[in-house]
Amino acid sequence: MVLELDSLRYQHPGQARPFIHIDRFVLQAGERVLLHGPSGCGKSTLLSLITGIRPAQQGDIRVAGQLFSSLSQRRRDAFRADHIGVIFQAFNLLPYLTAVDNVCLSAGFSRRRCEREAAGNNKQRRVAAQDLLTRLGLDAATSALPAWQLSFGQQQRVAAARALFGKPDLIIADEPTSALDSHSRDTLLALLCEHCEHAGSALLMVSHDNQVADHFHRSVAFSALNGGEHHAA
Amino acid sequence: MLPRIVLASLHTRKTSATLIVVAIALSLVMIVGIERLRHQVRANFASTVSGIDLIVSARGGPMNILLYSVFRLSDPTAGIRWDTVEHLADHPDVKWWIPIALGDSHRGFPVVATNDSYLAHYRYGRDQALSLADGQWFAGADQVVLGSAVAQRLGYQLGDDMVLAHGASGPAIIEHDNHPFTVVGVLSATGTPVDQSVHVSLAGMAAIHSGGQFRSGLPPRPGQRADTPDSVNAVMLGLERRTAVLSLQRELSRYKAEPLSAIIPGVQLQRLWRMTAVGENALRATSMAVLLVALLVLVSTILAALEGRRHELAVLRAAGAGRLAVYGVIVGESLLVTVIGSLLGLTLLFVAQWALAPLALAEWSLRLPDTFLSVRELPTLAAILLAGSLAGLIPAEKAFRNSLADGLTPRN
Repeated sequence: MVLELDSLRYQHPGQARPFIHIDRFVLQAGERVLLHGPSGCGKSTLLSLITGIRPAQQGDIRVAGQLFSSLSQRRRDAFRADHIGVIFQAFNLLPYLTAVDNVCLSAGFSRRRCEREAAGNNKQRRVAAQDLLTRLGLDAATSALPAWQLSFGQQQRVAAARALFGKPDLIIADEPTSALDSHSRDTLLALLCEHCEHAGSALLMVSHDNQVADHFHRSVAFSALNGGEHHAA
Repeated sequence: MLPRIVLASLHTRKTSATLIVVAIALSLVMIVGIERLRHQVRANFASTVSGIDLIVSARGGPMNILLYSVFRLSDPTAGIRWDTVEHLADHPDVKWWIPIALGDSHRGFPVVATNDSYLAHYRYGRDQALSLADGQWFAGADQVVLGSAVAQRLGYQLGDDMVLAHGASGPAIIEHDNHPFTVVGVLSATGTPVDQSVHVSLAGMAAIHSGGQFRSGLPPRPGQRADTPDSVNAVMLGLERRTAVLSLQRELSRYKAEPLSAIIPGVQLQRLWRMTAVGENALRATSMAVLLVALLVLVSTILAALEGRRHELAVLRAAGAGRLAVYGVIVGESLLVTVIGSLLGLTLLFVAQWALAPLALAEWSLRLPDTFLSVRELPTLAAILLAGSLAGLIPAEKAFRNSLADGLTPRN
């Protein structure tokens, strides 16, 4: 199992009842799951908990068998670097770095992911990053541009490449396609799924849009999963 | 990776980064510049007198004696009689003596009447003797030797005639215009009040005050010697043995014929430093305040930029950046800005010193330092760099807390 949630509770400060309240949720290795629900229902908060950026208050989160709650913030950060790739809805890239440097970013924090790309030194890392970008449809000239010069679709592909680089166990995607038209959306998702398959990574994507469910092994409604209070943000 | 991120991120915020760099550079110029000036003024003062064991004058405040005889900053006390000078000159402990008679001026520059010993024995800096840049030392009563600043400012050449005025300052009240002097020599620059002085012989001074008859061939007034003035203001003494300084000082204070004071220049200089310490500390406090403001600007600018960098930091956090990396990016930036600012400041100061050195020497007889950075200043520089990196700690901690609160996606 790549991801295992047990009796997870999360409460925003000053609120009476838990915002997140999940009794059990499991993601198998290589499995692709869509979690859908309206905006503000707590999907992003859940992802922050799973990635270990926000500490959970109650319950267990296991990623690749490792219990997050037993780790210090520092170890959680290191663990995230090793095992989880993240794609955002927007603002995915450091605008002043080139596409290649953005892809190398996650490897910069994780020896494990460098090793899995057989990229020991900086140069090998950049070659591997360029390879991955090429497979996602960005040629070398485009990859050498600073990220702010890329189109939005290109930026999302770079973001996908960064998440995929080093074949992490789990890829977390937070509405990565919501700003794309339906054609670009399907192209990106197809690429993402194909490369997840190739890398052996599980994919957990949250979206308000259930139309993309076809790309996934299963689709779960967030409301069915979360027993907590729901507030519109 | 982190250095690259720091550099690239700063590059996108060029304008504000440049402003902070300039603010830090200017405050460094203030701090180090003031400190150097302070040090240099002190060194200049200390180097004004060298190798003089005692300065003898009519009884008066020791500080006043030092100020007028060496620095020409204060009004001279009453003179000492010529027979006392002769007594000193003949004293067995005295190796050489330099008479100093003041009271006249030439267009604001003090006139110093003295003898050949002045050229031979006066020392400044590290035991440096005076030397003539041009011409020769005066030999006759109507000859004058100019300090370098006087010659430069007033544009005198060898052979020019000039008129000396009675009274120490300002436009002449009574000009001794019946007694023109001829410039026969110009001294090399020393960076001491010597540069600001007009030197004449004692006979020349005597002649001015006896009504200028010596040129007309008339004898001086009855009871007045033609070659010496009635009195001088001070006598600088070099002793045979340094160890005799205290006993001679005591002996002169009990001198019967007239009341005398004998001061040890080094001791009075020490007292002078203690007197000026208050002013120096005020200067230092001012420059510290300037640095504090620059550092506050640094902190507030980084803090202000953090709002706009929330996404940037979220991306870093998602990629696996921990507290250390977030601190590295923020503190690295403030440290880098401080280092660049400091280097720029040191360079500005170096260029300013180089550009102003001739002016400072000519106008204020002040030798500016020609150093880029001296060992003495390393603690100051280290403190600035430390403060610069500490300034990044507050924003760094805030950035890290932001990222915890924001989770994966910061709200706009």
